[in-house]
Amino acid sequence: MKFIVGFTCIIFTFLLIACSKNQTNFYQDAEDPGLAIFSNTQNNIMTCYANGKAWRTGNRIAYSGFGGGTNYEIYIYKNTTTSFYDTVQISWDGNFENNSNRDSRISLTIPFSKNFLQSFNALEGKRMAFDTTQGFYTASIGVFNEQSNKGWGSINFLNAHIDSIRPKDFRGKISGLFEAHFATGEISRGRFDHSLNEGNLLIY
Amino acid sequence: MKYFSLTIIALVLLVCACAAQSYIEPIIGSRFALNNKAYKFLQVNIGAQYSFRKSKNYDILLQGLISWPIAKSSTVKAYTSNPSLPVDASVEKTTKPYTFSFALGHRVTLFGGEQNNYLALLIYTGVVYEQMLVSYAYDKQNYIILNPDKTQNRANIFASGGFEYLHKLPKGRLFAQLVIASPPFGGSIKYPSTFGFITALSVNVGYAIPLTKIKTTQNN
Repeated sequence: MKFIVGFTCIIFTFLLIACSKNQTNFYQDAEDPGLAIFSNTQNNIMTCYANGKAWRTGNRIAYSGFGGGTNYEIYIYKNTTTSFYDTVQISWDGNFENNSNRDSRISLTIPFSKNFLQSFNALEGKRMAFDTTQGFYTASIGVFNEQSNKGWGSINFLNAHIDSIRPKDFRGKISGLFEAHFATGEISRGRFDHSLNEGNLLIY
Repeated sequence: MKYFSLTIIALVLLVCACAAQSYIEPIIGSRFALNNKAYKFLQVNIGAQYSFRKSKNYDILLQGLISWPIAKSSTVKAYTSNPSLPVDASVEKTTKPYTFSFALGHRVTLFGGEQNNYLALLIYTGVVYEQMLVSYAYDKQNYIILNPDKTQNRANIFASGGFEYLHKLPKGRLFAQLVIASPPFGGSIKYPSTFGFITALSVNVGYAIPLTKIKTTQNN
C-alpha cells in the first residue's frame, strides 16, 4: 500500500514538473555581471543592482493541466481612489541571483488618471522622475528593508502598451530602465522587459 | 582544442602517407557572407594549401586559411533613466568576423585534363574556428544598450565546395576558385544575436609551385 501511495506521489510530482513551462529568458549582459541584457523582446525579467549586488525577478513559470496557473514575476495593481487620481503600483518579485525564493519585492507607485488603459499606454517613451510626492519606490530586500520608507528615483518606459482584447482579457508589454534611492541603499542599472496579460493586471 | 589538434594531426598523417607529385599553393582572395544580409560581411582570405597529385585528374589538398575581417560599423541606441542626461544616445557598433580553417580537400578534374586550361571540382571538409567580435563605443557608466549583440565564438567541423579554373604554366599552375563554405556546425547561436555564423562565398586566386620535379609524362 505504501509503495502504491509513494509511487503515485512520484508520478504526480513528475507530471506537475513535466507540465510546466519557463517563459523567462535570461541573457547575461556582458557589461553588467549578473544582470540580464536590456531588451524589449518580452523576456519576462527585471534585473538590477541592489546596493551593488545583482537582484533579479523569479522565472515566469506557466503550469498546465490540473492545478494550472502562472507564477508571474511582475504585477500591476490599480487602486481606485475617491480622489482625482487613482494609483498604480508596479511590483517585481524576486531575489538576489542564485536564490530562487521570491521573498523580496521592489515596487513603484505612481498616480494615474481614471482611464487606466489610456494612462498606461501614455507611458510609452516617457521618462519620469519621482521625489516621493508624485510617485515613489518601495523595496523589501534583505540588504536594506525600505518597505515602510519611500524612495526617490526615475524610470524610463521604452514600451508600455496594453490592449483590451475582451472584458478582463488583456495583452500588452512593458520595458524600460529605472533607478531608485533610499535612505539606506540604492537600486541601480535596473532594466525590465515583460509581456503582460490579465494575470499580471490586478485592477480593483 | 584537443579535438582540433587531433584532427589536424590525422589529416597531415593521411596526406603524407600518399607520396606523389606535390605543390605548395599560396592563396589570396575575398570572402562574402551569403547570410547576414543586414551586415554584408566581407573578409580577406590568406592561406596556402599543399597539393598532392595522385593522378592526372585527382589531387589531395591540405589547406590552411585565415579570413581577416573588414570591420562593419553601424549605429544602435542606448538609453538612460538618469533625468539629467538625454533619454537616448547613438552608439557606434563594430562587428568583425574572424575565421580560421584547416581542411582536407579533393580536386577532381572535370574538363580539359589533357589541355593547358582545365576546370576542377573542389570539396573540402575540416575544422573551423569563427569569432564574431562585437564592440560598442559609448558612455557605459550612464547608458545601457537596447538588445545588444555580444561576441560569439565557435570551433567545429565544416564543409565547403566549389569549382576551380586552372591554367598550366611552364613552372606551375595558376588557378582561380569559387567556393561556398558552411558555417561551423552546431546549430544556431543560443543568444538573440542579430547575426549568425557565416555561410560564405569565397573568390580566391593562387599559384601552384611544384615542390618536386614535374614528371614530363604527367600533366602538371
